[in-house]
Amino acid sequence: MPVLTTSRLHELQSNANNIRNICIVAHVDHGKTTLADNLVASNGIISQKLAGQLRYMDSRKDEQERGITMKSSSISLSHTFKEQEYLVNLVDTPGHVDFTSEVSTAVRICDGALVVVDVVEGVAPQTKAVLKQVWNEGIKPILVVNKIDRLISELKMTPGDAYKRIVRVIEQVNAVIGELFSSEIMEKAEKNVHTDEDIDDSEVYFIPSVGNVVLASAYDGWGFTLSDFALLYAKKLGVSYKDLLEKLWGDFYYSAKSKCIMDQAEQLGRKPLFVQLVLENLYSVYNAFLKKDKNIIEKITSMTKVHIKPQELNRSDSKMLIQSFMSKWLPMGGCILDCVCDLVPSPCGLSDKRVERLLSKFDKPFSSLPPETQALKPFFVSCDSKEGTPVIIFISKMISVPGQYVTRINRQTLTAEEMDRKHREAKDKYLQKMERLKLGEEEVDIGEAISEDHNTRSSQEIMIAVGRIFSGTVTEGDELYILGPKYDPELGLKDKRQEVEVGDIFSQKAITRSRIGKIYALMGREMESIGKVYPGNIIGIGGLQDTIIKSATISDSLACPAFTELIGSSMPILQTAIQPKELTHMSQFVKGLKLLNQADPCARVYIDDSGEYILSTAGEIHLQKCINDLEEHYAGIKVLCSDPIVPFRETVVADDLKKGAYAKPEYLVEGSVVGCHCSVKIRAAPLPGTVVGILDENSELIRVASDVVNAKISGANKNRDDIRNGTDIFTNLNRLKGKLEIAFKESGCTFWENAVNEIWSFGPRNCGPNILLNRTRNFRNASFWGDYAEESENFDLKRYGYSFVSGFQYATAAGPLCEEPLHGVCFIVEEWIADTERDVVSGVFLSGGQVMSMVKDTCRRAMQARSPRLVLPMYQCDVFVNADVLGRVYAVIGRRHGRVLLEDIQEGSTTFLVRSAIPVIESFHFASEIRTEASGLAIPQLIFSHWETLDLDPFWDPLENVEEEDEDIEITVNRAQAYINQVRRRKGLPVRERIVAHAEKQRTLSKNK
Amino acid sequence: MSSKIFTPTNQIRLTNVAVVRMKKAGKRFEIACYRNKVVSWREKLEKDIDEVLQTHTVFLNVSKGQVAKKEDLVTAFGHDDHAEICKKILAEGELQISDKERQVHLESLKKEIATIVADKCLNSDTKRPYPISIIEKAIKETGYSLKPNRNAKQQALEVIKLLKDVLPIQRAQMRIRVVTPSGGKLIKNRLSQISVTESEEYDDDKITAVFLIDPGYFKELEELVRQESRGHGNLEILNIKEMTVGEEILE
Repeated sequence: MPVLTTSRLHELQSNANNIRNICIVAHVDHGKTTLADNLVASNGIISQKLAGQLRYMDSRKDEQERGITMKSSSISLSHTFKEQEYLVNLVDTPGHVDFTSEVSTAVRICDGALVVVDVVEGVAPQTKAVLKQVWNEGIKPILVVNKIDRLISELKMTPGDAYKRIVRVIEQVNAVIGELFSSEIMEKAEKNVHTDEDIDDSEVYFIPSVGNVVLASAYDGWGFTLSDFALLYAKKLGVSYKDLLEKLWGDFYYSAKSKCIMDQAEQLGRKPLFVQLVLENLYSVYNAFLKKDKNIIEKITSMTKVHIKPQELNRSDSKMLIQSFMSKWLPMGGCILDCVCDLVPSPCGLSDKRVERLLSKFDKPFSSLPPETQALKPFFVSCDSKEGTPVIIFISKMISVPGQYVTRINRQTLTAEEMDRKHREAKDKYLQKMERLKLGEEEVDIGEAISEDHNTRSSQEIMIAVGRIFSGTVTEGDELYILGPKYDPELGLKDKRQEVEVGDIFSQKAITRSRIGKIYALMGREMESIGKVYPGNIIGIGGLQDTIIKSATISDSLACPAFTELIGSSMPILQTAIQPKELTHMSQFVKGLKLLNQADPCARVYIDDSGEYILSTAGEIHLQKCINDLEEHYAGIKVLCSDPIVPFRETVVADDLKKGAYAKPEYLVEGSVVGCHCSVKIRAAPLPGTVVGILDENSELIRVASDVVNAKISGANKNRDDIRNGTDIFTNLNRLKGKLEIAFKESGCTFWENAVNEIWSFGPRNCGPNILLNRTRNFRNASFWGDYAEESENFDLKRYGYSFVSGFQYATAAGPLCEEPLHGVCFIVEEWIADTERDVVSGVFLSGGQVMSMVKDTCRRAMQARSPRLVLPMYQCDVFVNADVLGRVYAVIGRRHGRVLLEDIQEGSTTFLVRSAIPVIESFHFASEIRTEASGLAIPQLIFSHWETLDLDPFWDPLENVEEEDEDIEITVNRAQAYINQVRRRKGLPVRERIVAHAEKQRTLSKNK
Repeated sequence: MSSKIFTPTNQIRLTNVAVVRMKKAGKRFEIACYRNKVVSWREKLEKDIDEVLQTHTVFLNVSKGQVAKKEDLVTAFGHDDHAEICKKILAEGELQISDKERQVHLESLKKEIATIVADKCLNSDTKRPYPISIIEKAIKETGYSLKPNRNAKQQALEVIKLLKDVLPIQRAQMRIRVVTPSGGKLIKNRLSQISVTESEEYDDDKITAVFLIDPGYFKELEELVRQESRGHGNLEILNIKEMTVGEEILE
């Protein structure tokens, strides 16, 4: 078959009826890329001999090294089927669980999927996952049962056993489909959608006789469907083709006596027809070639009319021989492409259901969309390339391509003459260059590889948006709307109707208008520039790197909605803190991170509160790929990664709720300023849980309110905006006050009576979940709710009130355990004496700073008087897990000190939902551990949920107690202490640990005496 | 145990010795301890004295094996109970810091300085704090050498000045409000030199202003306000640390 030339490509692309967009999906190592190799080889891009070894689609270095695919890549192939020429856009996807997001982007832009299953391994976890994705997206699957050669040459199964094996694998796949089918029906039934009583499910299954199952060995380069053999034998056996096709698969046998096909083969102990006609032949071919039996080989080759060169026959490697014979006899590429052209719908055949699903998001029914949007539907189906058809393109992902792969040169088949000319040209060039070198001129780069439109060096990365045209024709340089994922056509249209200026729309509603750059056909590793493109094709578009982040919809009509976001089956859950190795590279580093964020559908980069750059990835391998990309392509610098710093909180023990316990005299701590008549009595108490909850929820409100209160007190000039916001805030604030009042009352403790009105401040940063209560007798006016500074006549309060509060702010920002902020602690001021008059007399002046440090210090001691506790941030972890590995998931959760909150079976399946709470600090690499333990059958998702007190005295030493008790007790580490020491060591605070545990066990450094 | 087994040596050689010395009554007394243990004992982390002392004997010279005489002990300490005197010397004597002790000390000092710097400073471009690890690296790049006997806060302030050449860094600012009935002119002048003023009302020597300052100027300003207003002015801290908070997604 000829190599696809650009002009030919153009011709094919314009005929949407003959376009097939397919992707290859499977579990890792089931042979996707090898299969793709075969298809590529059938187009003559690579040699048939190299197919299976070259892994043409794995263009990355690390992909080749590791032998796994890490990104999806696409190539256009041509194929002749039933005397028509088809264009097949093939997308190869990665199989590893970390890259599930790549699969979802691929599935979105295709109409069909080749689901590859390893016949030896059967249905694997990822097979289920991809089947689910294919199902959800509603595209046509074709099953490829791969690696059949292993049954023959490696496992040495008998033909009968091999048959049973294949049957079982197909059944397994159908079982998964059945489960998906039934749960969809259940869902519909739940939503009370009217369904027919008996839904026909025969169409969705894989049945060999229908032709949607291909039996193959990608490694040896062969593959066939039943129809291939049915054709072959129909004449020989004197049975009609149709009849044979139906009976070739199943419990039938051929009786030589009666020369007809009979059923119930198994019962009669006969070999099924498939074994008789297909497998046994395959076996004899394999055996002949493995044993190198020349006579039989000759017989076979003459029978099958496959010509093998004599020098090949003499080769010692029998494996090679099989490959070259089989790939000629039953070429896999041809067979699969036939199948694809036959079964997969063309882009014109987009089903109504799928269009509706693409267009309507947020579970809104299609009919609720604006009429303008609904009117777009027929264009999807017609795939019209006429002028005036609205342009709709969905960009599923951004890829970054090294400049050298983007060619502008049209690929053409070279005639001998042209070859000759090129050769001469090259020679001339070389000679010229040599001359120039001789003359001592500077070497000038002959800029062939440089793409002129980008004016960049070939080593630089070019961002290309990969997507599919659903409707309309696009030419380079067109100006179109780029609609972000959050765009809502209703808003856009409304604005348009009211003729709001275009600029206004852009700013807010996720729309930009941009010029289309170069349009490329994706050719595996390379890109070919094509000026214009027709609907139904998968293409790459340049020049959009500034407008698109991860995915987008491109259209010339504002009525077009943004396509529903990809179904995120894998969340980025592995968090890592990254930083450049050299500080001077900071700006490149940040730029690289932005590119990474854009190009990787599943990576998320953000700056957290402590200023660290956090990279969230789907798993370890994904992380390594991201780091690799960052180091080699996007940033070009070395980066370091580590576990991110986990924040903690500190609180006091919340065991006793009776009033007596709160009011204990030993909890009241006194502090004073040296040399001044200023002293304070403070006690610390735990706040009721409900109150803490309310404070956590409303921290933003409190922060704004504190600002406003401050501003109001100062009486500084404010514009009207502030006041309007202010009144708004005060109504909210009153609501908050009411809520707090109820919460305090519900705690059922008289200690908190009137507590709400006594609130003086919140901390830290004026908005945290800690409260300063004012129970002094002499400073009654100091309160958060009223603006005391104006009303109060007390000068001392006016002067030192802020310092007092600042002291409290400092105290709550860093606790005594490990200098982390406090959480849910209440400081009650019971007495504050500030007799400045007397001080002035004695010539001492009390400064605000002194008051501040006194309060800070006293609060800290008050907290230590109660027993302090560590508070851990907790993740809520949802795991969807198969019933068989439920136990192991529980074990992992237990090891991570997690707690199971809920276990629920998913209806219509054997999957359980396990909800648990896990401390964030224990969650690193949790996802990968759970995946390995559950052999991929569990998918965890982590979200931050709440703060939880670790009820363990950080100062209790387990080692001391154990000695007194039973010796057998396992020596456990005090977790709270361990966490605290970890933080203290990080911060350089003194750690209560001996430098050397055993004096005698140190290395002896004395000289020999 | 050792009393039950007879070992035919008349010399006990000590290895891994750390000597603690004490001068009293004109004599120098020494005890032999294990390395890296004395500091832990003083911090009351090590409770087993046998893990600290090599032998419960007070020496005049450990390396020569000269044991202190009874009369010397009595004149210096009032009694000759070796175990008691050992404890006293251990608690009060001059200490030879061992390798690991020094290492731990320097390491924690370095971390502490980095923590203080990270706490006090912001990235002047993003107005966000720097992670401690970045600060540590930057300190290394400035080539600042730590002084083990000066406190961390002082050194941190020095380091911040040096860091400005390496990183876009600035002190986190304090938001402060000043309200005075008099002396406003001087205060205003000073403010314009050292701060970014957010809002200001100046009227007949009265001033009400909200502004951002470097925390280093707080004391000076407080003093100024007090003097100029004759005790009637007021300086309030509105926000200890002005910075951007919350997560930010890179796009």
